[in-house]
Amino acid sequence: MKKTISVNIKGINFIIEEDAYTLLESYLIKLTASLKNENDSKEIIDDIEYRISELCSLKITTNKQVVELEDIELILKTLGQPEEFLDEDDVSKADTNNENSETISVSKKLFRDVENGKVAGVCSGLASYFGVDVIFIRILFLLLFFTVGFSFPIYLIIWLVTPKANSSIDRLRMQGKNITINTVKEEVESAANRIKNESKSFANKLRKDGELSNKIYGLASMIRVFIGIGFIIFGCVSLVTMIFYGFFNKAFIPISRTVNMRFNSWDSHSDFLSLSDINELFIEDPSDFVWLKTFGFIFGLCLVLFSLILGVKLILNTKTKLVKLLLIVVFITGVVSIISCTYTVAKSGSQFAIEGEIERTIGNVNTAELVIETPTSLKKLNNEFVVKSDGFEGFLNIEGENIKNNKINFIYRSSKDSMYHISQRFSARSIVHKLAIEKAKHIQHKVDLKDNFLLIDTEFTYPKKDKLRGQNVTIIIEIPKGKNVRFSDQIISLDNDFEEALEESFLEEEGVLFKNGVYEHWY
Amino acid sequence: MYNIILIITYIFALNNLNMSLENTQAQMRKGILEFCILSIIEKKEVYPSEILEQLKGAKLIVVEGTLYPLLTRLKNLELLAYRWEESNSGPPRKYFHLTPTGKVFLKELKKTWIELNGAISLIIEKK
Repeated sequence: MKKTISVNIKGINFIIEEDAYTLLESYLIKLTASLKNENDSKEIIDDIEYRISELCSLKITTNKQVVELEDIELILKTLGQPEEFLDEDDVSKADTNNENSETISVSKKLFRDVENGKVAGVCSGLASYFGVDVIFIRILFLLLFFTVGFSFPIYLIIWLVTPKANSSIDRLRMQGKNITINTVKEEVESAANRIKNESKSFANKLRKDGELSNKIYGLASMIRVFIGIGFIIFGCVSLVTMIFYGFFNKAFIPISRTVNMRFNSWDSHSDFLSLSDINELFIEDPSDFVWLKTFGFIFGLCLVLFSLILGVKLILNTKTKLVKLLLIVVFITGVVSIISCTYTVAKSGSQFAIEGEIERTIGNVNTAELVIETPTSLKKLNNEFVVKSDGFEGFLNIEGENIKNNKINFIYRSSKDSMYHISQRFSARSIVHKLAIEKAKHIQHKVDLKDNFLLIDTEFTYPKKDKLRGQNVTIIIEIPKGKNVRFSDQIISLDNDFEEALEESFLEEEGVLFKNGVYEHWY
Repeated sequence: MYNIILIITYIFALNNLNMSLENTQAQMRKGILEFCILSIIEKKEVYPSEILEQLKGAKLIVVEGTLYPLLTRLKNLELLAYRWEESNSGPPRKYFHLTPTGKVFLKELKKTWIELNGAISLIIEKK
């Protein structure tokens, strides 16, 4: 089994064995180096290449598609070695036996070194040109990209305008080495090695498919590198996030905490909860909480590792099996841990399965109009301003061992008699009804009925140990026919609905009271 | 011997070449080869491979590479000109033909060759 490459000799494509190609290339290089007059030599080499192309086509039959090493050996034997057919007029004056002295001086030229390059060989080409290590050029490009970002267009421009170092002669010119039989020989040998070791440059792998597709694939590999960088950045950010919020349990979820201030007045100030604080408020079973924390940590770790490894892999374009295996292991671990997390959360979800409701009557009122007031709506300052906001911001409000919640629901029904009937309903959720009722009983909400004034607190509280279990407070008001409820500036009446209600016999309207005392009626 | 050197000098004087005694042999072979190449081209417009076939048939050249520098040189001396022609079986071919100068040149060469041939056989027979 032999590796072959596709090569274009004077417009004809041949599939040629790799060693045959190397032999042919070294022959042409030797020929170039042997001919002194550059103008003539180009034509002579062209002619000889035409002959080689012709001879190669003669070697190809329908049964034999590949130009083999033996074919090239035979062809080169027919053509003869340069020293066999070139006399003193054609050969440079230098003594051919003294290899070092046979030199073609060349000026250094900028080429793209696709064989040593990572993307399109721009950096390594520049490195060769300036005679510095490629790593410095690469770091410079990356730094420029991340600081000012113009290295990307620069890279593209250099890429487009710089020719690729195709032949060994090009490579020597790129390195600024003099072309001698010795250096050419070295270069050809290293070229053979490079071909054998398979180039790392993505673009180079596809170089035989022509320059255009080469550039497209090169672009793809450049995109690959940038995606890789993106993954690494993501991994680093995730790592920092994980360390701060997961490992050190840094609090970041905004809540407010109500504390007793001076003069025995309660006020709230902002505070933060950590992820585990929040979990504690949700998850029933302490062991579940530990599991969630553990799996969450593993998942975070996997996410970080995965993105870092993938990023490095994409940038270096390594095909190492170890890296692949590592990625798979990390990925599977991550998936398993996130599934475990979901399972734990789902298990806690069962704590929300059953709703328990309790209800008590606040009172019955016989009045022309029921007026609902909230404490905040009464809080008038010494001028005409009214305090609209209560300063409770954030995700939760914690008052000592209690959780403060808001949003009081209102349900209005038609009264069966001429009186207003007011009742208060608490609801909570749990895994069994009994527990749900228990939790509902723990809810505290202040409602006062004074004459035709119904004073309703905008908040209700329940103990922290009850956890967040969908605790809810609903005020149910039955309105007699032709009468209404006044809620600050809103008049709530069921009169319009009464005619329809005669047929339906069931009539209900709803509304909600927000924490800042604003009431919103749902018509 | 003196005659031969004189005649060879004449050939290469025509070729605008500097004669040097050290490469006489090489120049002689080269001169004869060039003469043959021009003669082949005179008969028919040909491309290098055809020339090679004839030269190899006549055992005038061992390695094919010899031909190309010579063709280039003759072309540069404006004795030869070529045109490109597509080929069905391989790469395009360079078809060579003689320029008017080339024709005159070859005529002179032929004359010289006949003279030379006579002279050589005369000398060799004498010895």
